[in-house]
Amino acid sequence: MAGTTTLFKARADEAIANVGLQTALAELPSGFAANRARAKAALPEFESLRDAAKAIKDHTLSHLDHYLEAFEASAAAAGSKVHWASTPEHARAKILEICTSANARLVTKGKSMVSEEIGLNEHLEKAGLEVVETDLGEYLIQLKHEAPSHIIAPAIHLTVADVESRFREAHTHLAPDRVFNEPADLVAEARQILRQKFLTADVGITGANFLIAETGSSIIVTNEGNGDLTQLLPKVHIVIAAIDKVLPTLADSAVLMRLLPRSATGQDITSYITFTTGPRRAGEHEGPEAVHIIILDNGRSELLASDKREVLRCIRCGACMNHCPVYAAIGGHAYGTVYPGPIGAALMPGLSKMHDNTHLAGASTFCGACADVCPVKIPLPGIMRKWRNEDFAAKSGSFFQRTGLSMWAALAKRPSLYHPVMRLSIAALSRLGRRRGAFKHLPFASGWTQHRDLAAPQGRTFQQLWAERERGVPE
Amino acid sequence: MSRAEIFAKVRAALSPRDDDGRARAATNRLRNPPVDTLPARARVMGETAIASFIGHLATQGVTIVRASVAAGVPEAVAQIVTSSHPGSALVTGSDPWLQGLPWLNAPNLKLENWQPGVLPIIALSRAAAGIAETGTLVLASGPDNPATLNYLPESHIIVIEGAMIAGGMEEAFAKVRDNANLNGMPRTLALVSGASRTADVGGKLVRGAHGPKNLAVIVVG
Repeated sequence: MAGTTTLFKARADEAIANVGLQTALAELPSGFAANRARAKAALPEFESLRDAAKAIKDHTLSHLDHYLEAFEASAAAAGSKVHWASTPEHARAKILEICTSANARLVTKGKSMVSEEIGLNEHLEKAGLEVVETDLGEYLIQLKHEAPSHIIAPAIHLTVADVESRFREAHTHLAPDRVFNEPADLVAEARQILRQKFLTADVGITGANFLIAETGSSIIVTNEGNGDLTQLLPKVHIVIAAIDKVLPTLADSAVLMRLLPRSATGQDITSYITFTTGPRRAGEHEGPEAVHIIILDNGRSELLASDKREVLRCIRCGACMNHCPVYAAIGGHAYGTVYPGPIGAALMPGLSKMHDNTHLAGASTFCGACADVCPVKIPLPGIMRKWRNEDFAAKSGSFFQRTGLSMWAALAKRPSLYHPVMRLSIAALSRLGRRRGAFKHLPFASGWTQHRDLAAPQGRTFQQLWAERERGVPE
Repeated sequence: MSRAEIFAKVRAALSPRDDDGRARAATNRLRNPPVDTLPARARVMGETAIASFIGHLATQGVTIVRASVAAGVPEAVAQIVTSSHPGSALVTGSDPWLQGLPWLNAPNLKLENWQPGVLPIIALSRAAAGIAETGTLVLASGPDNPATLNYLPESHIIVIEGAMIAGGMEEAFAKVRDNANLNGMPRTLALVSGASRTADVGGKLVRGAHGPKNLAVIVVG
């Protein structure tokens, strides 16, 4: 576990030194965060909608078995086939089996974080299938053999120059001296390449933003329309979604849809929201002949039983990472997990075989910005704190860390001991650091002093100053 | 195997003692979904709804034309085709309302029925409903209005009757599901609120990622 933490720290250091990444991340506050604030200000009912959305998700989760059954029945009535997968292995095997029995060679994919979670592309490629991501951001990182660094803007870490150089390397059949003057030229090239893939794919795989128990529909929310071409054109459509994506009714989805795009990109609504219900019907000349819906658990039923159930309310808008000071400093890749940022830190340790991800809960300042913007009011810092406690109880971390924390706890819990110890050490540090006003090195504080000086205390503790102020002693 | 395992774990997590009560609550809620927290902007109707619908679409760079009567649609359509894709055929489904319009009023327009394999440059559809709250067109798939036309062409023209514009999303869903011609939930229910777009390259907004680069809406009435 110490190894994973060390890796995280190394990746974070690299990310902070990466100029291109820092340029991309600098856009976050003026981009997504500012747009969300504008969208929220324009909708007076935003706060009451958050409460309504939280209530819908809480109700659904506490009746999840019934809504999953209802979804299965409605989807079957519409002609879809529902498959259950308790683990990523089950889900991958089922999807490969469906592709094989359809004699598939080319598979197009819409954006799906669950497919990242189960390592789907690699599995299908090993079996000899060509898998093409069609969301432009996902396509860019697929060309670079990278993972998404943000759940709704997967290529947010790439610059225009990165994209141009990768396109020249990858699209070798196009004129080498073609000119890219602006992003629109790169988008046009991707459109041309991916159009051919859409038209010739044998199987289309999408995720689902929601599944509707009432109608058996799966919903995708996009701006590009790539997910729509993915699920409409091939003869087989596979939906991969987790058990926490089900909602009771269409009306419930309307409430959540008022929050999802506003919280994500600050749009009132995305260009496309599409409800798909079953395969091609009699008299139709379009649509897949078969629709398979894979419903994945992967540790979520255990989260449901735990004191961290609330994390399952998440609708994957990405607002928590758009407002997180730690994410803004290091980007998504440094976390080293499928879901980065605060939601990743709260969710990842709960997913099967990912129990060594509890160190992520340490990658937080607990400033609470994530919980403030979460459209379904998940107490993200509270959940991270629970993982920290479990991590400590599981005796992870080095002897030095654990002993240090235990000593600190023993001290902090006893005011009669804490105050005199603090008075003495603050006074001592103040005398020691009087000449420079700061420390370059200090025993037990190298984690801080490696990167910056530690300012020397002024002589008295906050408690002392406060007490004097209350007594009216002039400062 | 996975199914039984997942359901056993989910049930074990959810107070199994009151299982009957939970089942009843879920069944009731599916039959009578609560409609709460409808924002003021979703509680509009008539001309206010039409104005809000048009206002939202206008902010998305959508071309908007108002035709006071249905008979005016063919000329409005012909004008859009001529200005954006002169000479291209206008591809459409078999919507009887659209078919019944006086197309002779637009003698230079080539109207073509969509067939599988056809890659339309410009297409025409009729919306089953609209949503004033967000400026959204609701399209129900079927032979009348194939969903393919929403996503494949370079440009898309959508006709909507003003009376079909609902205040909010919930009301629009009801309009679709109560439409006897549609027979319940269509296979693809498409909510379209603008042209296809992406900001994935360098964070700059570009129109025409994979779907239509241009969207034109004709509001009738």
